[in-house]
Amino acid sequence: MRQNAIKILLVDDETQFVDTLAERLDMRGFKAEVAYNGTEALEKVRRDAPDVVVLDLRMPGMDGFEVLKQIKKINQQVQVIILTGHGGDQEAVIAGRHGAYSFLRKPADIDTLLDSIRMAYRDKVENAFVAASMAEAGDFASAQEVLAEKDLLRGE
Amino acid sequence: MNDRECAGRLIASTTHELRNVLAVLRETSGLAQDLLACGTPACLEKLPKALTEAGRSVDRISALADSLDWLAQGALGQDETECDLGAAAQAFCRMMARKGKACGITFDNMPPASPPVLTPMNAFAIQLALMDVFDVCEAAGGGVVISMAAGLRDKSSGLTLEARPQSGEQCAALEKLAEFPALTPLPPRWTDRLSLGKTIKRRFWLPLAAARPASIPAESMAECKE
Repeated sequence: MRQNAIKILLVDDETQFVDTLAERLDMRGFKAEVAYNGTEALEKVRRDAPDVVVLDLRMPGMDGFEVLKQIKKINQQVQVIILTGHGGDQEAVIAGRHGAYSFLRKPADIDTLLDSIRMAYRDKVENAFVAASMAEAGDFASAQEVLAEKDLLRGE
Repeated sequence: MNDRECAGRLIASTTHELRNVLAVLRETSGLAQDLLACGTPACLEKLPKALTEAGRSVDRISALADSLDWLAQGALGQDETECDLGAAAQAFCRMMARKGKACGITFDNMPPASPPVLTPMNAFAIQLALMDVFDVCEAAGGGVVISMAAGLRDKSSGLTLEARPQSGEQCAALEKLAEFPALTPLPPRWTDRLSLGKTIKRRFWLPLAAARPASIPAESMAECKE
């Protein structure tokens, strides 16, 4: 997997944190855009959808859950990883219910975050392949469900 | 609001802030390691900045630890009869900074008054009084910047609270503060009066010399979105 093929968007109101994280990802061959609030993040998702969004939960203005819901409305294939200093187990469950790929607590190790980003991207690409083969076979409904990340086996 | 709830809210906000600052520290110290490993002149040139930022994060963590210590001392020393009002208010501002940010309430950090203004109140009781003021602002939707200064009026200790809208326009929180029974409105400073009658800064006196000031009913509090 080419690392710089993954389009990453980092969303956090802690500017020092998000800028430094972007710089460290850059040194590892990952290009990451940054947004300092929810509104800015949604504009960037609409303009050029990233593959993976790393999203803080509690931010001034629009909070992370609302941003997550809006991102999924704009583009269901965007994978969202929650990285927060606030959340407990309950927040993790809510985030999962709204379609978050994973839930990490600050301070997270950069390798843990990168593993999560790689896995999220891999799943996104796999979903696209599965959906394409289903569509080729004429099963458009299932293809759409795969793209919407619905688990066909569990019937969700 | 009872003592336990107040302590819980202070600790929750502080923990959230600590996690954020630890995340900054992890990234800035990690960046310093990355730059050292890179070793090129361009990388090494960035090293002092990364280390300075890491040091700044340690200072922020240390200040939060001091504030938690204030809270612990206040909770443990219920019988103590004197407290440095400026330091107690500063501890509150630091601990509630993160929650305030999410709710649109900003604290202008102030240095503790020198010489210290001592009040015959327990440190925890001061946190309770300030939490009531915070709740008034939160219930009104935030959008306010608050600065505090410890002082004396009529030989009684207390805090002068200065509140102004974040966006430069009038905000509901200022009106609600003016109606809050625990606060006494103060006349504007002469420097503020010179600003062509457009003064939207409001000043209040919060007496902190005896029992806890009157609180507003809990049911009128709006919860900040988690």
